Amino acid sequence: MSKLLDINDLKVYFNTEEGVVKALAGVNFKIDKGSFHGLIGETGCGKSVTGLSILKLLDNNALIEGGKIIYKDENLLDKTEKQMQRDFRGNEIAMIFQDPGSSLNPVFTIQDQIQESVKMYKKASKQEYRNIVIEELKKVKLPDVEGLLDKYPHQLSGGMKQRVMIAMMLACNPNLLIADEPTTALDVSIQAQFLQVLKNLKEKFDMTVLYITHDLAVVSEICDYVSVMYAGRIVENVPVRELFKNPIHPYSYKLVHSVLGVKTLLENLEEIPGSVPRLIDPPSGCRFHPRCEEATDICKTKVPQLKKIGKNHYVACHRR
Amino acid sequence: MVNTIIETKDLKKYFNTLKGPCKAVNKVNLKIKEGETFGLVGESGCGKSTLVRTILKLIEPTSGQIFLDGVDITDYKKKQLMALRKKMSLVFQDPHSSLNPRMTVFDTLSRPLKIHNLTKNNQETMIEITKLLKLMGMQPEHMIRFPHELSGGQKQRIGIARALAVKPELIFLDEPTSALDVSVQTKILKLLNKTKKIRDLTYFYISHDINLIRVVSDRIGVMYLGQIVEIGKVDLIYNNPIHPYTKGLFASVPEPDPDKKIKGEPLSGEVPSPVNPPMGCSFAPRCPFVGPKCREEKPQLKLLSDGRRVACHKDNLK
Repeated sequence: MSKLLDINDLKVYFNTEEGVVKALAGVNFKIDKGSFHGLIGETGCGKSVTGLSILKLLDNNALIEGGKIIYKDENLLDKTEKQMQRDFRGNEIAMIFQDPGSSLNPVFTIQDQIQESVKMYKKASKQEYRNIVIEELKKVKLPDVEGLLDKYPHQLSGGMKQRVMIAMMLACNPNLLIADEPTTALDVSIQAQFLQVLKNLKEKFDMTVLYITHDLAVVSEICDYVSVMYAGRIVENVPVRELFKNPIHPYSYKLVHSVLGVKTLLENLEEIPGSVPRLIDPPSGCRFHPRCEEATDICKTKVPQLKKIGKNHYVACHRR
Repeated sequence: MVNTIIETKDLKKYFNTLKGPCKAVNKVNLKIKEGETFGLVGESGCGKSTLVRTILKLIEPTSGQIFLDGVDITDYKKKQLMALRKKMSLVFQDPHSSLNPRMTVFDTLSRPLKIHNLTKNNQETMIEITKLLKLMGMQPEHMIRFPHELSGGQKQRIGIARALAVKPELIFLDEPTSALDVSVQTKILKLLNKTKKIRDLTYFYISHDINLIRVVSDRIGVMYLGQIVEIGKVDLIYNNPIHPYTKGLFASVPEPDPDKKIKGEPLSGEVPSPVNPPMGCSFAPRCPFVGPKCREEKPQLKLLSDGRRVACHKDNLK
């Protein structure tokens, strides 16, 4: 399979009143065309920042310190704002966000919002736009599509809004979809419906998806390949089956074994001692070393690099 | 014989809205036994939190009765409620918003002690709070911290310590870990389990997270649109859910195993509005096994041979 996106040693820092937050300190992973790539980690580990960096949608206080984001042989970090807007955002790479309620504009109808993105790339008559919007809404299996067009977001349920978000992004035919915790605000039964829609889209349109989440159960459900992130670095790049059967990095191991459902008895659940470090003053060397039971001196001084340990399986740990 | 600590009889809570009464809790009959951990699961808007708030008498029930240790507390007023608050307490979902940002940990934890005259002077309060913090695995120096100086897990520990301060018999836990990361979640759940044994408590968990409820509960109840549709021992229901809603709900939960995938859409459609719930069985519009009787008559909870109760019209429930 060919590579669609290659993130290489990406470093992103944020200037804040308290100091420089080293949010991403060397992120490395590749996404194959047509794959469902999961990016997992706990709150504040830099998952969302990674997603936003790809589209260059970071806040003004962000500094891209180094690295490359290669999308189809072009480094996105070299592009200007104008080029990003014209050539990449929407038509090549699209993103859907966590809370569907707040990512739709409350004062525009569903049709207005979806056709806005179409209008940027295509000139057509009113009726044609309407037909395009109807087509897109059908793709995400929304019921009573015609009736939806003139509704406002507050008249829709959370699950429907999230599907409208997908329809909006599908309207531009992107090659890569970045989904940032798209089901966190949804109920399980609605989540199941949503995941089904995503699976269908992937099969029909051969879409590539970067799925950002903290929910390992969802990852096991839809992803082919997973990057595990901890405190701004990737600690393990691994095919999804390997992650659940044979997690190598001590953090991945603990994470997988602290998921309810992998273990059904409370006593058997793993705990990770300590808490997530503050990224203003991150630990030296391997950022996981203060919480790692196997840490030695080298872990405190030297940053471990990702090394190959199996087919498509990479781990950043001195002890493995 | 194990005593029943909480019992509700035909408990209803309707809210008045412009479109008519919203039937948030609609005839709930529930018994919680002393010392058990009961888990109530359901999707958002099914009435879980309203049920708990009604039992705690934080909101007035529309009709029905609530019994605490066999005593009818439905019509309790202010002074009597004070005594009630020492018996039951509540841990909230979001530790970030349930602690007053301008109060130190000491202030937060000394409030219940002072209000209920549990300590006579500052020194006693100090000793009691130190004990509570120790029970929660925290240090005495945390007493002078403000909420913003604590991590999410620590904040929730303070939330739990506040609920424990009055030495209650029963604690309601309203999604106690849904705002926390998985690694922190494990710690809090283990801590709650340990505290239950030390303090001899009864727990009433509410959650939408089916895997969580499975791990912590002895018995579970499944709620849909203001009603309990299935209730019984946790293993029985997990291994063989009987009510069509329970079946669909459990099948919707992704399992953390890449070889087990969800098949199709386990539950089609969406939850109807509780303002205008369906005439008969509230699940009828989404139910794959719906019959004519389901659309006309509300099913009551029936006792099955394995000890669970299910509200469904279907014959030979298995």
